[in-house]
Amino acid sequence: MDVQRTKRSRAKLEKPLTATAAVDGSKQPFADQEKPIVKLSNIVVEYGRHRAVNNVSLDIQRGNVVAIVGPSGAGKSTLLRSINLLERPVSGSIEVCGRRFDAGAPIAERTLMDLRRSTGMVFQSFNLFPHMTARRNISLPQQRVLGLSRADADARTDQLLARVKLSAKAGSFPSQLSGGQQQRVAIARALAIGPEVMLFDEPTSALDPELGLEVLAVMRELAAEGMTMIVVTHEITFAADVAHRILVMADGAVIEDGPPSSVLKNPTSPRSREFFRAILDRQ
Amino acid sequence: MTETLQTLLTGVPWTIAVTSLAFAIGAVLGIPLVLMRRSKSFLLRLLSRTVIDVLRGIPPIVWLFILFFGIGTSAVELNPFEASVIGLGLVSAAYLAEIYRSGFLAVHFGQAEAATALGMSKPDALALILAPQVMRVAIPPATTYLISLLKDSAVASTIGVSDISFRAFQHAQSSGGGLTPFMLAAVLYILLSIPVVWLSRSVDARLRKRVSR
Repeated sequence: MDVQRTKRSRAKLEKPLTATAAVDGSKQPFADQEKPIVKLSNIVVEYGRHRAVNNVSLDIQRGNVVAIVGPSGAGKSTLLRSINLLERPVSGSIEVCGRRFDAGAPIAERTLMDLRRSTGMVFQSFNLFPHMTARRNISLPQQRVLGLSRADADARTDQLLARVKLSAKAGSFPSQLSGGQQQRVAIARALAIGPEVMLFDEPTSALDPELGLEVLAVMRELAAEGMTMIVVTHEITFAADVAHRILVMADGAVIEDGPPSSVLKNPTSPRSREFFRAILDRQ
Repeated sequence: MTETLQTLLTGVPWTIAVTSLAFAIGAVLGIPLVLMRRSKSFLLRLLSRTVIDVLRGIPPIVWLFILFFGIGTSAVELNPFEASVIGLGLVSAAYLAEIYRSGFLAVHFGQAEAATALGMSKPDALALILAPQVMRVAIPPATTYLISLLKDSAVASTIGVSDISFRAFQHAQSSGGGLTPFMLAAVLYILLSIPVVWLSRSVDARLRKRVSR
């Protein structure tokens, strides 16, 4: 099992980073038989006495794009952040790429770092390192986390920058880039580690609409290439277009789960009907 | 006047030595202090806080007397210079630890989170991501501290380090008083502080250009 995993991640590393899959927007049907790449079982996350995520279980198949929507304070980000254990659940278990973590059990630092390597995270506030150029932001983690040489890391970085259409900005510091450009660098940086799952935490919420579009375009390409993506978002149109599956969360629980067509058109719970009505009213 | 100046100038190397060595000790020892202060362990935090509060709570002159006449004559033998450097170095460690701490607070928590999410080790995240940003924030207050340390190093003269102040006192007494030695001492201290200010501004400007957010 371990050997297989190593092989797969190495194959992933050597794969050319340019977009190969056709970007025709067609969604592949997902195979339910395969073992889920992310499996959450009865996850509970608490902040002090507040229960942010309340007993959520979730299976996500490889290659799926899952959008998580819902009002603020619903626990969307917290749920996402418990997948790479930025938040530690107080009970339940998570399984990512075959590694299982039980709440409360001690976890070796090494194992945690491996978990983070198999997941890439993109934050609402970009979190680029302000003291490094765009290129260095992407190449440094490859050197330190993957153990690549500076030359190899730089070569892969240039491919990644081309992929997010920012080759011209390689030498710019984050402060010299627009929000949309910063977020695209952040996506490239997350991809540089060769993750099998990408976690997006409201990637466009800090951007004005036009800049949001260029970020969404990169995410669409990524989805078309078959990347497994879990996206916390308020962009309902993006979710409807790109996601295989939409989850609606409220008060720490998943209250709706299904393909966009059914979730958006026929939401079952009154709470989610209310939420979608509010979104439509704003548009 | 020239004779006075000549006497005072012999004190300059001592003032520079006490100040720079004490600052260097403080800059280095401040690091473990601030890391303990930010540790998850309650015990380490308490220890660090106690050390910092004690070192900052004792007037340097009292602290030097304790070191020199107390510890310095019993446990280990310390000459006035060593006692001054160690004493002021420890006090500096406490102040610089607090300056580093405010630097850590100024760095957005998302920076550590991003490093963690990328799978970077904790030492890597600290050394490559956080420390450079902390330093950027810490340099102006650390320079302010260095200038005040330059002046406060005069306390070393009370236990017999022949720095600028020591020479000024000595000369005033032997030459029958007068303000001249002290005026000259004041000028020397100001002249010494100017390059520090100048250096810090240029370092700050260079960092600001690169790290501005």
